Amino acid sequence: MRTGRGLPEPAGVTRRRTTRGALVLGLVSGAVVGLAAEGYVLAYPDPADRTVVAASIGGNPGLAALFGTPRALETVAGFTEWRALGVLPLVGAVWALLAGTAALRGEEDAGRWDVLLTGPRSRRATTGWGLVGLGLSLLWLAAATAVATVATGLRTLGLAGALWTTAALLVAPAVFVAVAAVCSQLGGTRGQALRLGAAGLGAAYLLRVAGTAVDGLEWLGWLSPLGWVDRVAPLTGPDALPLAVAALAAPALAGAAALLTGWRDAGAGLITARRPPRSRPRLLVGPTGLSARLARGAGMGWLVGLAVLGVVLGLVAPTASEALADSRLSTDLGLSGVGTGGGVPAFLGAVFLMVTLLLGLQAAGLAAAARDEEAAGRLDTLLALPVGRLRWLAGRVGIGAVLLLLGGGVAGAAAWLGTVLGDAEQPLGDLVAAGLTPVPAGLVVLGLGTLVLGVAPRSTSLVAYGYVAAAFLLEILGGLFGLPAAVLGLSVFHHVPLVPAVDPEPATAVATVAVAALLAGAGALALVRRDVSAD
Amino acid sequence: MRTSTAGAPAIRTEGLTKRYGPVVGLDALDLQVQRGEVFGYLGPNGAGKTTTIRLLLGMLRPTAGRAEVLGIDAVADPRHAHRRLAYVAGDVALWPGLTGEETLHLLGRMHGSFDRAYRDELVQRFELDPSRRVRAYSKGNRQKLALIGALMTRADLLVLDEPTAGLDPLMEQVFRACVREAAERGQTVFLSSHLLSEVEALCAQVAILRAGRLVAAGTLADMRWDGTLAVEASFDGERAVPDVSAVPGVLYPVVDGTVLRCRVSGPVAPLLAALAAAGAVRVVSREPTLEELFLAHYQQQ
Repeated sequence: MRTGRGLPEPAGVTRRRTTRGALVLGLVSGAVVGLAAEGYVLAYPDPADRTVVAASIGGNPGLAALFGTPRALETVAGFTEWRALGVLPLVGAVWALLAGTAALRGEEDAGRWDVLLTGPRSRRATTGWGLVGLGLSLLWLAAATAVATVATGLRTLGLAGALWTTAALLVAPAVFVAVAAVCSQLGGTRGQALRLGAAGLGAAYLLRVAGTAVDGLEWLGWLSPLGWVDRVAPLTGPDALPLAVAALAAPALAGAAALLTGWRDAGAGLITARRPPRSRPRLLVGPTGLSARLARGAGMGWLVGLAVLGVVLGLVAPTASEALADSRLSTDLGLSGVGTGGGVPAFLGAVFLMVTLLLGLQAAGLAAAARDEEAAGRLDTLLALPVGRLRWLAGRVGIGAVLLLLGGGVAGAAAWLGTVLGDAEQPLGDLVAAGLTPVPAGLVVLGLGTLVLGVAPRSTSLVAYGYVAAAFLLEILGGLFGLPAAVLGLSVFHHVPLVPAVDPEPATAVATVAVAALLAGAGALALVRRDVSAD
Repeated sequence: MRTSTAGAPAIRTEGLTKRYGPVVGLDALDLQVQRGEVFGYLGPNGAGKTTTIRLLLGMLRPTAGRAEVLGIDAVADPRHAHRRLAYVAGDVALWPGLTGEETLHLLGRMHGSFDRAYRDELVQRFELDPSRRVRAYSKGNRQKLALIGALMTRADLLVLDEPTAGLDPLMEQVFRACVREAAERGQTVFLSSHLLSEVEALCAQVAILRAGRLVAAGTLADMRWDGTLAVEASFDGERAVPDVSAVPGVLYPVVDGTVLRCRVSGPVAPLLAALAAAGAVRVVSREPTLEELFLAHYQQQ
């Protein structure tokens, strides 16, 4: 096997597995920074407008809680910093958790590390070199982010601003790669490691929210890597101290991970079940029951995440919504279509785009999981039984659709609970409807993934996730640049009405579901005509 | 359709062909496996054994030709055929999060029918602990789990693709006993393997595949007696071992120290004369082993 540049094998393996994703993340993140700055200049050429925007967002604790501390919003630098650093570190942290657990734990679960562990290196050295490989991917991430930020933001932000922003953007991926490394030693499987990491990210976000929103609790932000990003303020008053904290924390966590490796068995975690596993064969009577059983673990974690997000959105809605009284601002936030009504429904209608994104990502993940089933040869095991391909596919897509419906419903109900807790109760029915509104868009992503599974199975994951990322960027940035409706319409998210700010549109929902069904049907036709190919 | 399947062979292919672009996976295979046979399907890695099985199971679409399993079209109606067969892959793929017990439950329920008492007996005989998760099983234990899952269905046809990879010699013996019992009950066994000893021990009928083509097929006894004898001659070491490659009828001569091994086709007299003239001290002749036949087929090119 080629190691490349004479690196020890474990470093080569982890680097190869993660570099491509790092390059994509870096280029997209950098481009988002530059485009946000350009978009602001285009949308608000007039200083008077900028002052109005700054006043309505700047004084708003709800928006600050969600997206981070706003500073000097009447400037290009201030607005760009708030826009870009509110969302991108979350994306970077999610990438880091996925890539880190896949490289350090997924490889081991699949049995591919056994070869490495029989080599001359100790377990700790193997994990150590694996971390070095991840570190190299982080360097590629840094290079790609810097290149894209400078290329798109040099004119508006200057070289120093672009580079400070790059440094701030690296904090979350670097720290959460190390968190993923620690979780990979604690969890018994990659899935368990990922759930631990996701819980860590959720806690970091909540600490950052509390530190930003509650007077007197600002110090909480220092406990969260996302709080460190918030404090770097790369474009409005750069501070190297939080960067230094991150630069110490990431290697310290990575070192802890290498130490912990020595205390566990290969293929096991430090947190292991003491009791033998209990057999629960109730669902295991057919392909659909099996799909339900396989979706249960990851699906539950995702539903919990949606519930937490829903409660937070409902809680901050009363304060945050005041900022949206200005309809121009809604447009600018990528939330066009909310109208001038303002109030809690308008805010929730706008920020439920985050729920839409999570539904889309889950749908892409469901399609990718179906392909995994085939690639690992488990589909062969099923198809050798009296199970037709269509019945298998229908089971997977059906269970996926149910999960997406549950996710939308849970998010809506949780947002209602949040508004109750925040003393701004909205009708439960309206918010559940709001949660269910993006479900057809999620189904389109699932349908697209099914189509790719049928015609080009090896690209399923790439196309499904790639479409969600592209559609999301188009939706949040397209409005700033005044792109024509035909282009915006390529994003399925553009066809999600902003309920509860507007009334639900049953006709749109039916049409969207019909598109999803057509895509899935075409995929099913292709699937029954092609070879089943394990890899 | 069912009525016409009663007397049909267990497996029948006509001109079954699979190409991957310019690469030929299987080239115009004509094969018949009769009911009740234990059929050995031999070939080295990459010869097309697994491609054949995946075509028979309807997972691959044939480029040309047709395949029938128990009289049922394997391409058009795989579900119907699969109610009556069970399959074990060489590289068993199961769900890591399920326990062994759950896996057997799933396989049994999805197959439609299985013999609970026989399942419990098999779990005992293969010494499998079904309470653990598949993730925690060794490769051999996963293989045992898949074998139990297939055998417990008592299906009319067992399709086994190198099923003993990863089994220890004791479990290999249990496997052989189970296959013999299946044959006694009238089940057909299609055993793909590159383990010649396994095929020799179990199979009466054998087919040999090379580079996607069938190069030999028949009963093991017929194949052994392919008109050639294996001859081994020893010399005392004082005189040189003779070069017999030009002697009429001699095939594949190999010299190993003072021992000459070769095969003879047709009359043995010219070789015996040459050996006597060279002062051979000992000459043994016998039917060739399956291994010798197999290697002969592969050394021709």
